[in-house]
Amino acid sequence: MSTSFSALRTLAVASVVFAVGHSAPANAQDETAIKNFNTICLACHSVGQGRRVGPDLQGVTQRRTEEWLMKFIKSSQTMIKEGDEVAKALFAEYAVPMPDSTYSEAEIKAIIKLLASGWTTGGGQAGAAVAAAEPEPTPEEIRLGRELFHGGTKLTNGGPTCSSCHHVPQDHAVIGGGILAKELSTAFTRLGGPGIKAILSAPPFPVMQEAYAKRPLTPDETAALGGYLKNVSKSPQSFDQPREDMLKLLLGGIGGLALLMVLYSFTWRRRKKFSVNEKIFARQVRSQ
Amino acid sequence: MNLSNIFLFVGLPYAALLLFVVGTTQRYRNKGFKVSSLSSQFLEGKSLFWGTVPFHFGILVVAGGHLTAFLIPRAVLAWNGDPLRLMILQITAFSFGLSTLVGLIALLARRLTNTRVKMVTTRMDLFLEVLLLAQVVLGLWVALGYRWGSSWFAADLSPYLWSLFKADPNITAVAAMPLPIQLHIIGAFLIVAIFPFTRLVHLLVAPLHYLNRPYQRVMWNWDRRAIRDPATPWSKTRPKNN
Repeated sequence: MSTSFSALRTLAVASVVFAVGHSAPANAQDETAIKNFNTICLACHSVGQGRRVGPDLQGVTQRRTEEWLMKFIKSSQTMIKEGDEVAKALFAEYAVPMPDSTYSEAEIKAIIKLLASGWTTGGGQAGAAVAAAEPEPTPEEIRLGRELFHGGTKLTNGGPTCSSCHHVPQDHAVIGGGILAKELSTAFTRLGGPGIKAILSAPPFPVMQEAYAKRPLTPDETAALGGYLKNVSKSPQSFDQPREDMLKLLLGGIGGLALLMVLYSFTWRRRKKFSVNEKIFARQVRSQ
Repeated sequence: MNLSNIFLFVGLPYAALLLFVVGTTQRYRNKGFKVSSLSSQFLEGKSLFWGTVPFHFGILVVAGGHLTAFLIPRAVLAWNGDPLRLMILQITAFSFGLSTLVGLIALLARRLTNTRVKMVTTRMDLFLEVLLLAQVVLGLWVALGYRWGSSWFAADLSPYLWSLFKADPNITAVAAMPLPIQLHIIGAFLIVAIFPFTRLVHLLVAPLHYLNRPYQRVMWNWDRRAIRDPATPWSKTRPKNN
């Protein structure tokens, strides 16, 4: 009896040790997956709080297979190019391409597992922000947002102005914005206030992510830029097309080149234009 | 993060740097006198001027601009914070880029058409000039088609290059850049890689001391026109060592 009790006790202890031993890393994995989700995915997706830039991911593991999700998260654009109907339909509906994931296969798997577990983004700060009503931007916010976007007021942490890569039409602009990334005059209409704020707070696009990784926008700057983009979306007519900037740059460059050529020619105006022989021959002819 | 990106943006830069250091050291140790661009000015000088001057001034300013954005990105971003200053910087850089292109085309044409210059041209010279031409064309394309480069270089490519020097490569941004920009970056690493095997080595022995060297004044204490005149008596200026 005592032997069987002892064996039972040993079995119970072993079960507890086994259970604890496996649950600890599982929790740690969940925490890492939540952290990874909040760092990249949360900017565009909620889980259980409705659509943002992209769809609400609640129940996504029931709608799609793990294999499909893995492939889509790795490179949605590749799937679209390959002609996957669901991927094409999603792109048509949301009109914003999902950037290729920078996470490893194991990290993506952990996020898919997290989504399958019924976890929601309800407790997150961004989630709260989504739920909150969007107040109308004040004229001061719009002015600050315009200056932060196009330059004129420096970003607090020294990040690049938005116009380095994005264009938004504006009156009397010296130059338009960059064209490395998307034109943003209709960004507010497409993404909504929460979407814009989420992207500015935790950029999901790799190039933008790196640009602001060490120079993040402050909450005030995020609010001002959101307000400015909202204001821009109300009057989306273009005054200053990016193509004009290309022409300005090209013509300016050609003008600069002409100036440089004149400068080179003037600086070395006394350069030797003929071979030494020529002068010697000429001199000999004269002396004859 | 796929393997080709790791190869192109991590493996290639380190391989290029290794080749650069080992190659130039070996070349200097073994063939010190050949660490030069082997001037062809004696063979042809007139068209050389319209090639070498625009090319060298152009490339010095353009390469200097890239180096500035790499070394002090914050200052560049602060400068570009004002649209007018950004425009001035971009047009200036683009003008010097065009100067580089015009000079390079003139140099390549001279190298291919002048018989004397052709005689001293190696296959590596041609390969290098074509590679440089491709690199300059790509650079101008990127400047025009992916504006504004001076800002996103400082924000994204400077941290990438620093990450390489800190031996902690971060290629997140560079892997997501458009293809022409990626090709321009790869081209730059290829140029670094072949540097020791080309005439580019003259960059390391540029006569910078000429800039602050005292003048070498040549004094003529006779009338040079008179001395050429056969009627001038020799006794007046007879050399003392003869």
